[in-house]
Amino acid sequence: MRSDVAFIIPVYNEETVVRGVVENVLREYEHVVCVNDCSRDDSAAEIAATGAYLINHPINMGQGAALQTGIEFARRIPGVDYFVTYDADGQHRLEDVRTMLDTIRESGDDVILGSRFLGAEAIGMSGVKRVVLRLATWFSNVVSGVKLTDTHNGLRVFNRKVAQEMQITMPDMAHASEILEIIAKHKYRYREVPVTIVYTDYSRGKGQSIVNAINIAFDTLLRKVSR
Amino acid sequence: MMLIQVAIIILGLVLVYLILASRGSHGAKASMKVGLVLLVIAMIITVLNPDLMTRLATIVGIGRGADLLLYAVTGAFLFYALTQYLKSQSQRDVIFRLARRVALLEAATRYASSIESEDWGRYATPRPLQPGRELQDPAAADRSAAESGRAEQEPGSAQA
Repeated sequence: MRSDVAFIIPVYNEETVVRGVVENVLREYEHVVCVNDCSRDDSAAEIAATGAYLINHPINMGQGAALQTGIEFARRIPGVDYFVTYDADGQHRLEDVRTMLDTIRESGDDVILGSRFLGAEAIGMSGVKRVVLRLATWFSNVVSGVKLTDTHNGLRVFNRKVAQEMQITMPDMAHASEILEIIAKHKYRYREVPVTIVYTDYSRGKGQSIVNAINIAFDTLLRKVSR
Repeated sequence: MMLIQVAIIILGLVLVYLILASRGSHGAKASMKVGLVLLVIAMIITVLNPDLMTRLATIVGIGRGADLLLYAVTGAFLFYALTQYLKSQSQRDVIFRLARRVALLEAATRYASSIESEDWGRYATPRPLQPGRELQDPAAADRSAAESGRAEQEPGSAQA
């Protein structure tokens, strides 16, 4: 049971799976912060039934906003040195988190990012999604200046310094690119670790539509221009 | 004088009255008022001199005055749409920060025993919530808070 790690799990309409995912994490880690992004289903009650912290957004704000809320809460839990962003739909594996936590402690890096394209294979990923993710990665590498093999992976581990300075302003999925820009701006030491994403029918149904990639790209570029 | 000229002049005068009578607040509104009044004046001038737009159009290399007007309106609309988009995003930013503070305050009361309570003082301090890009920069927000004399020691900077 580790108490020096806080999991941050954004939750939006995940009533069927969130409880199992949270209970799984709580078996090994003491602190789990669930940010319920104004779900319309019973996600909040499912989380409340576990031992996790439950934070309720009064309005739906998007995954990036939920992450920021979770980070701001988690950095006030005493004794937490490492912060993990984790998906509520069960697509991440705890053994990958364990590897990443070992890596961040041994390497002394600030941020460890999960990568689907670094050795390990993505289970059940469709061919179209693979192409879109490659394109998104290329786009992000050009825009953010942080060179990675997988830029839109929700599994990240970072230390307290990063958590204190993190300020995500993009509320929706564009936050993934924004986090990389933050890494570049603050010159954090980062490293990618191969992780396996489990694509089930559930996570595929919940996942990002490919059309949304265009929205993300547009918002990211506009933010660059208007800054 | 043609009927359309009379109609547009009356419309223009009504617009000028409405613009000047509207109780806009500050400097930003004032420059907009001046611009709108100038626009109405240009409108009246061109409706009284129908050839003016066409002459202007041939000078810049466009055939008809109507085409020049169309290009100008298209450009103005795109500018307007982009400005409104950015404005709505910055307003959304303010609303989201407010909602996040509500969520965190509510959670702080429930988990008061297990989280560091003294750090929540910053949320009790009224920090200025204004639309605008400076909000995205926490350092700038702190600076403006310091100017208004309500700033408290930030937990982040205290530990750094």
